[in-house]
Amino acid sequence: MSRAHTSRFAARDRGVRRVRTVTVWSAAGSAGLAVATAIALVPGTASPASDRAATSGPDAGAAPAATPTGGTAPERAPGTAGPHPRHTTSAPRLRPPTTPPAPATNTAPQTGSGGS
Amino acid sequence: MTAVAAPPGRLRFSALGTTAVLITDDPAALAPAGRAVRQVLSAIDRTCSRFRADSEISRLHTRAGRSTAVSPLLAEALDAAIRAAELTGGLVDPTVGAAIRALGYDRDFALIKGSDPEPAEPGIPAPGWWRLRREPGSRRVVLPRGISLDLGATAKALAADLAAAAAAEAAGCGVLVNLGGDLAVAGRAPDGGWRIAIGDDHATAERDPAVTVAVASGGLATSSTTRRRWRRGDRVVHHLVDPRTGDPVVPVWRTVSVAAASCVDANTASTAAIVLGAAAPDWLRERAMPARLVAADGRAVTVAGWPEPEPEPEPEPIR
Repeated sequence: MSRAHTSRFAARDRGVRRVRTVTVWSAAGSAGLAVATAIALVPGTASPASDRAATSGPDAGAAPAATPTGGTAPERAPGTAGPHPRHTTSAPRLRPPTTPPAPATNTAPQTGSGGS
Repeated sequence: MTAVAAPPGRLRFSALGTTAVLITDDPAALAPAGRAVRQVLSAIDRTCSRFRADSEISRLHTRAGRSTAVSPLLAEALDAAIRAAELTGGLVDPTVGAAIRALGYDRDFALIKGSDPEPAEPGIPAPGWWRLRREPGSRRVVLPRGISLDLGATAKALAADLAAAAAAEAAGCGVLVNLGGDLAVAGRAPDGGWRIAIGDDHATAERDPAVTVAVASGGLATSSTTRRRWRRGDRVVHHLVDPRTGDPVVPVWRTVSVAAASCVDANTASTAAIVLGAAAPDWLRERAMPARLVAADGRAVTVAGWPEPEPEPEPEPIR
């Protein structure tokens, strides 16, 4: 085999090794990015406080709150389909009235509320 | 001599496919308040009606997949609908447009035949509100291709809130705006509050109320499966669709009335309660939303400060 021929093979082998190295590092980088993205996308309501008992800290062993706060998905009857997954957790809660409705007996109503 | 207060001014007209009622505490303020209300309702109709080809929301559908700048009013209506979806975990979802059309509610309800021999298509679950892209701090929105919006419930409630605010400013007195049973009040309420009759049907509630309550601020809304019903094939369907399945809600409650700080919040809660079914009383109680729920069999449940029904007087013992 001529020296020039040998050099061509050597150059080709170096190229193949480089491609393999880049492929391995790219795969590792993609996996890392995927993990980082998954961590970033986990909503706050999926934290241990929302549905699991704490295993450390001052609340260790305590039962979780019965109802997560912050307008999370409502409870539903067993066997029914679940609501769509949430995408934000920043919305404020529904606002109750400043004063609840009062009974109005023995007076004529001024207007009506019902289905339409 | 005792001065007798003049009866409040009252105006009634058709709007947004239902009946609009305006009441002003000062009867002399009815005209300017009426103009303000009509202006708001006309703007909502031009902006949010899915039955008008020339509405802004119809134009938004023709630009699906592209970033589109929308008017401040449509941006507000979209934000109200998205917020309702977030706060109810998707029990109220603006992306139910295709599901509602598949049931045959594809034009103004007055034009829908009472009975259509064609069976309804299988339910189309809502694609999900989170697919809508709202650019924070701007009025740009991207409606993905294939998604059909229906802002019906929240847009009508938003109209009541906006109309009441505009009317109170124009009239300078207390006002009540009622859009087919979804109502908002603004300005100074009359002594004892606005007296609202509650029933299954907004059109008959005033004549034949199940209960009457007084409201001094905010809004009150009633959702019911007893209205806007029609026949498709061999089954009766109605307009309240479960976004999770695309089918009309199987009614646990026939009517739910909720009071809130605004009509949008009241309507969001009453619609969600109908969709949620048996778990609705606890859901409303946890959110401190005063409500009255009427089961399919007529049994009424009240929660979170809604006035308890007066106990029936015990019969006198026979001597």
